[in-house]
Amino acid sequence: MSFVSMQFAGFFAVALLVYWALPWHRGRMLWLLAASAFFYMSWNPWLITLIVLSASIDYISALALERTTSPRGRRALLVVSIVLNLGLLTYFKYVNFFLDNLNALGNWVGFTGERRVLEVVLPLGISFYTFETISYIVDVYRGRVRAERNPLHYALFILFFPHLIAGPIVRPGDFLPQIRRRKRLQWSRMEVALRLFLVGFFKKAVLGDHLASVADPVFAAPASYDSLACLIAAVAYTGQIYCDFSGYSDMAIGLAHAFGFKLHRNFDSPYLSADVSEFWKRWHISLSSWLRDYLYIPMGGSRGSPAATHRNLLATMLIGGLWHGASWTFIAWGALHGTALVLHRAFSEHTRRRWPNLRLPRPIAVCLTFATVCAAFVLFRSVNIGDAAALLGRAAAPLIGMPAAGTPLSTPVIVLAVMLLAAVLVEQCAGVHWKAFAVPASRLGPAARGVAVGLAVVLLALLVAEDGKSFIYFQF
Amino acid sequence: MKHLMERDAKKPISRRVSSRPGPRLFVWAVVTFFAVQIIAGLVLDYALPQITWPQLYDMLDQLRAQPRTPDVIILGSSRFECIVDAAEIAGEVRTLTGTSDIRVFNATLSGSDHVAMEHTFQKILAQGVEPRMLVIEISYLTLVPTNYSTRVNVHHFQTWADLPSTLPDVIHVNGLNKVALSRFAPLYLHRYEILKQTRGALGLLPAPPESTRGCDRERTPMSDREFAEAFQRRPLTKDEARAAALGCDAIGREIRDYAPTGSNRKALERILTDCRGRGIGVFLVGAPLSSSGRDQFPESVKRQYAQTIRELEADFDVKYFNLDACLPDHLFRDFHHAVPPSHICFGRLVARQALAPAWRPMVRTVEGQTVSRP
Repeated sequence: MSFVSMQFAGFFAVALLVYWALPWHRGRMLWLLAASAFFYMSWNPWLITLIVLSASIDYISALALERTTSPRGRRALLVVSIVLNLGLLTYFKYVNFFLDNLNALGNWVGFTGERRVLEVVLPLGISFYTFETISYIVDVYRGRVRAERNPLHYALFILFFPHLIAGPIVRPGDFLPQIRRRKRLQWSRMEVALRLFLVGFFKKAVLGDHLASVADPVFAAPASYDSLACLIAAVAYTGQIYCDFSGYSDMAIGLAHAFGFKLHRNFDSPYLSADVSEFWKRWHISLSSWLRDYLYIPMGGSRGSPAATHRNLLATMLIGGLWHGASWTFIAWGALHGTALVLHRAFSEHTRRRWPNLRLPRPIAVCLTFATVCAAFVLFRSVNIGDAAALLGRAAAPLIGMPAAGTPLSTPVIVLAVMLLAAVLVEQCAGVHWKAFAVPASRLGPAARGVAVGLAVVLLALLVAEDGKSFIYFQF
Repeated sequence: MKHLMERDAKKPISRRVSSRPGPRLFVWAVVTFFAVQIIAGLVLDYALPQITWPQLYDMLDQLRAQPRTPDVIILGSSRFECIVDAAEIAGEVRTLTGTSDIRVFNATLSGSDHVAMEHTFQKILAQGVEPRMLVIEISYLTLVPTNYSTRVNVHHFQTWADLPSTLPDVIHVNGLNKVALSRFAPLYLHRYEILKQTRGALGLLPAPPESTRGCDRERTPMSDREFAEAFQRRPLTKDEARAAALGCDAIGREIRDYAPTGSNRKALERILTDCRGRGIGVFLVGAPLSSSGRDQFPESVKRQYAQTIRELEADFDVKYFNLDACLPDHLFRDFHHAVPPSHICFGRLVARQALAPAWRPMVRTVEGQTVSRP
């Protein structure tokens, strides 16, 4: 049940109406848990057993952790819990990747034989809820949060349907107190929820899906297209993945708001970043902050020597890339970002010491950062490294005065791409200057705002792409 | 309450209005959305029907562009759409009768049942086009009271006025969601066509392809030997057998409680009554099915169907030609849609069995040339 489907609209309407109709808090939380379980089971009913297993491991481990006083015992419980969770993630997500590479290695050294793969179904959202369960057990271990006694509250923390499939990755310290807090129906909050959902819907179903129609044919056969087509496809995909994922996040945050829960913002105009480090403070914030708090800092962060810091940065980004998917392209994408972060850090240190007053003009810095991010996303999107290299090579060929020949994109497609990317740029700027948009709107009365919302929904329904794509991050 | 009002009174007016909580915003949003959609739906129903069923209006445009009123018009669904080639049929009739000026027009539209065919026929007559002969597709599946097309008709051409009479049929085929979309979200349902026609109006669409419904193209050349080879029945490969059986599992659902009565039968009878009144000759032609498809219909269904055909022939003075077994299985991509060169076989059979014998009395010789009688 995707957020942009009629079935979800029906499901959400029923879930919301019954939720607020129930007069007592416990009943609402139980209903929300049941609705979330139903939502997850609509994808594949059997996979609920896996998420319950994963959540149970950490629930029991956390309670045992609090009762255990010996440091060795506590550490053992922590390690067992993390290993079990990561073991499940590794099996379901990476086993065939390892087998494929093992087969390739075997073929390379001369072994012949049948290629062995396992018939493994990738459970929806496993990467996201595994990180949430790990953050829970680690926070209990560190004493940041108390172990949750109520199993239904803990189950709701994991299964809460707005963030279940593709985040934002929520922290137990942020979410568990909200479950315990009694909720009151606030129409102003509903309005915020509706606005967030509509903005997210527009980004995903209008901008993202239409940008996909520009990018997909070129990524399917990059060697057939000319330089301009490859360049436009690369930029279009960069716009598509932002609209798809930030649109989903906005919808998830809006849906959570409707139930009285606050989720943190997951994107903050990332394409206006002046360097890669700033990019990772604005892109998929819940993941980047998780990697920082549970991977980078425990590895030593920037507390050691510059070489150690660089090693930690690279390792964190490699794991971040691998988290996205079991493919060398994702690892390469992570490596590219890790390298960019290392170079940025080293270069910043060097210039700060030698030329303290030297500053790159922000517009140029933003363009350079965008170009780096765009090139990295070509790796992210491509089926293999060869296709990525072909597309990047053809896109960059004009720089050396040898544009690649091939099928050009038609003029209407180019015009469509330019219009959509301009809309993405406006959205990025609007995100930074959101107060300028919010204040005038709030001066209108509810009737005028209601009519505006109604017309906005009519326009959205008209512009939704004919062949709606599934959310990109659902595959992670 | 009084303290809230006093607190409110101290605020500037703009903040007083906007800060008041309540569901009014949502009520206004819902009312606006549905009001715009319902008004837009009425506009689409009565002023812009080419948006809701573009294929019909594209066909009518091609009909208008014909040099003169066609002598034969063929009505049918996607089953006929795959296998009707007006040039092939007209060419074969000309060869058999020695006349050079019979004109055939392919008015088949995918998703059509007899209800949709009646609507199509009325639109054709409204253009002042009255053929001499009408060929109508008929099969076990077109005579059931409700079928897949019942859902399709909801968003193709049915309006608010049709809702009371069609609702029971629509409910029977679980088509209520289609009704809801077509009545309360038509701008969403037809968004692709709206945007396409907007792009067309702005000159952003490529030129439409050449008309394929008329009979002014060259026939596909095929010698008798090639014909015999192409349409000889032979053992099927695995893929061909799978293709010929594709979709058979849906037949059971369509023919449960089979009875050739209801909306489709009545619509067909209205077409036949109208044709009888206008002197238009009608040929009912059984649509080709693969052997796997034919085997899905039990004897009871076949008996009822045959009885219905006899009744139609007797009551409306029409002729029925059963071509349901005329094509070999290897020419089917599913149990009821065939692939080229099946149009050659089908075209020649329709011409030989139905049209040419009817056309011969209509020709005479004028100044050494064989022309049709007025």
